[in-house]
Amino acid sequence: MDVRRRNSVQLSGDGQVSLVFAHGFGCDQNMWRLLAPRYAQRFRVLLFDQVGNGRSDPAAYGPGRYASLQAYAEDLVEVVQACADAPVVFVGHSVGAMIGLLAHLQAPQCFAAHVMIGPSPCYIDDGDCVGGFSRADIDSLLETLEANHLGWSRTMAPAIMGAPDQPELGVDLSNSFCQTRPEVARQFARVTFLSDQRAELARLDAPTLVIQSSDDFIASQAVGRYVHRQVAGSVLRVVDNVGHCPHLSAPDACASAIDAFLATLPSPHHEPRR
Amino acid sequence: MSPDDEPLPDAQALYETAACGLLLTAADGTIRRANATFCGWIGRDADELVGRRRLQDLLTIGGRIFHETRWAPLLTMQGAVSEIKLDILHRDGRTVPLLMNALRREQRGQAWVEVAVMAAVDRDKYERELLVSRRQAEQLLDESRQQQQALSLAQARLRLALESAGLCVWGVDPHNGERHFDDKVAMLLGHPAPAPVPPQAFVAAIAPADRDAEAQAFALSLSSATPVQRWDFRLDGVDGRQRTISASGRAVRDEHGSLVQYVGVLQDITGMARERTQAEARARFAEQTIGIVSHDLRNPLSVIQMSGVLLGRGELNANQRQVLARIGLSTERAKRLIADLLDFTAARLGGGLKVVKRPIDLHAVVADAVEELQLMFPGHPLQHRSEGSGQAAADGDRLVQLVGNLVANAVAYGTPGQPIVVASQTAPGGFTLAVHNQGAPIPQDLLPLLFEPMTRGDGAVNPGRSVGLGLFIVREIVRAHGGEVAVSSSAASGTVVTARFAPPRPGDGPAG
Repeated sequence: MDVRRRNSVQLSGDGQVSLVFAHGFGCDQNMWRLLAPRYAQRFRVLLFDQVGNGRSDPAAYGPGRYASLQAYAEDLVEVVQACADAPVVFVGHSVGAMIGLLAHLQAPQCFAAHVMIGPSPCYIDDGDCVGGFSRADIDSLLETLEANHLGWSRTMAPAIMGAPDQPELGVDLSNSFCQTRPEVARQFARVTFLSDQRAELARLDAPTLVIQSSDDFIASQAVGRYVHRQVAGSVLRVVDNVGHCPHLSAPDACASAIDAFLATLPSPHHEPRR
Repeated sequence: MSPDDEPLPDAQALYETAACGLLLTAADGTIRRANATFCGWIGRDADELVGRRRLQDLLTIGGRIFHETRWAPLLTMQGAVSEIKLDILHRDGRTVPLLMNALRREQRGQAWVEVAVMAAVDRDKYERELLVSRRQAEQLLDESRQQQQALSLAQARLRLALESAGLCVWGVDPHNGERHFDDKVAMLLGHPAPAPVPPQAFVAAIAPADRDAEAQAFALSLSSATPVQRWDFRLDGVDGRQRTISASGRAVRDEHGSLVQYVGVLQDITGMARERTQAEARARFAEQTIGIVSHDLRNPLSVIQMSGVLLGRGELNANQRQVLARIGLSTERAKRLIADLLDFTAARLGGGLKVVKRPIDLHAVVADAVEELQLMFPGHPLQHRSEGSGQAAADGDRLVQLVGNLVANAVAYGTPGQPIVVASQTAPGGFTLAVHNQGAPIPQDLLPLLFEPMTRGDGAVNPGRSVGLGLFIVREIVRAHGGEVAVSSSAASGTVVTARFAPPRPGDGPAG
């Protein structure tokens, strides 16, 4: 199986360290367009699409296999092993961060450090973890997805509406943006929002940065603090941002948090590259 | 007056009462302007919204998650989103489905979002119906796919079963009434490999002696109302061999009686027929041998017994008398054994034991038998309990034999010293005989076999009988009377064998 094709892996940049970026629910590797290019000067950058999303191989998706996050984590381990040179710093957004966590526990040797942007180990309120949602809320999301059946697969072309002041966006994006089949989106939503990684979180033993938005409806500050508490030795950075995607709406703040974190990591052993 | 001079609503009025809702929000969603149309749809004043609420605050939780994970990133990345359908909360608590387009604009470092909103109540209803229909269709498709899978699996299994059982399929064409055959039928006709078999070739191969009977049986199966007909005949193969074939077939007819379908199987039973005949012959020979030998043994035994009696009349010392008594007891045991063997062969070969029913006093017959048995088994106290008038129609000698066998069985498997109870009961509904003993229960898996010949209880040592014929003969006696026998056994209540005899039918003569 061609892992590169399956996960539409894109490689760029050069450096001693690999940065692997993983998107979360609702989008694809395009999410990193304002953040990842900044790192290509100094790092090897790997972008990929979770199976079922973006330009990943549609044939690779099966509802039986992708019924839990473990399958996504297995994919990630394979992507890292096949396409990324060590050491790897993993940058995951939202559920992408949890997939990175599971992948780390499957193959700890593959990951040197984690950056979690807007992570939440458990979306449904339970005990000491206030995820912020109820089962009924998640059902209402699934209903909303149903109602927007069309929007997922059809081209949401800005050209139709026109974005006169941002013509550069219109060109390469008119074709495909965060496309996915409706039934895949539905299952990914269910798997994402009903998952519970609290037990796994406490087992993570690696340098970890948690980037928390000051105002995030999906992952509140309380959730960010919970993640920070659970991962021993982790660093919590709150960035001034409204919304769940600070890497899109506050890329500068995210980049400076990541840069500061990377500076604290031990510099890699230099080995001649072939 | 030219049209240009007509007073038109100004831009502000057009904006406020446009045919769609119009909103302007900050990049973070905070509402900066909202037109009257939008405010009217959601039951709120502009004052409540402007500067006070974000667009996402008006959504349901599910819509809000959608907004965060999809709307917002897409709007940032591609500058626009279109045809997003979200429920907005009306002031009175209900939700209003709205279809939205949004456009992000940036000027001098300042970003804002323009949103156009269409009411989508009817469209939403229609789309929900579509979704329901689609789901139903998908479910039906899924079910039909599963059925097809199950069907092909069943067909594969059937093929495998037919092949491993050596069965060939044949049928009848409902249109012309002609038989058609599986290609493998050619091998039943002596051909080396499967090949098409014309119906005429098949009929021609039927042994001449069987041809008429076969034709009649086939015709019967075509017309018969019974589900499956089965008939045997012989085929003369082109290889010179004759095969015995068992055919079966079932006709399916519609409500007008017309043939819809006819399916059948053919099986080569040549080997089976030969083996069955051989096995039957072997069994018959063995049973006849037992009968003959048993019969012949009776004469020398009678001589031994008579000689013993003669010897007993002479002068004997105590030691000699003891030896003579042992000779007498053993002779008696051997005679009983021979009687059992003769009954066994009669039951197996002669179609059941012969009984002669006469009016008897059941209680008296049983009481006599129990008295005699008590002498034979002094180590086990026997009790007789009777109930009812005692009037019965039965073969008294056979009942004595039956009680004897059951008591011998109870002695063999019961706890020594514990009473064995023989109960005789008469009632208008017939009569019963039951023998009960305490002791270890008979294993459950042995119960159904108990009345079969040569079955014996676990590990029991029975000096009185060497082969397990006793209970078999009990069953045969009861059957010959038109009754049935049952056994129940447990650790708590011991073992009881109950023989139930049907009431004598009016005009019941001596059975033969």
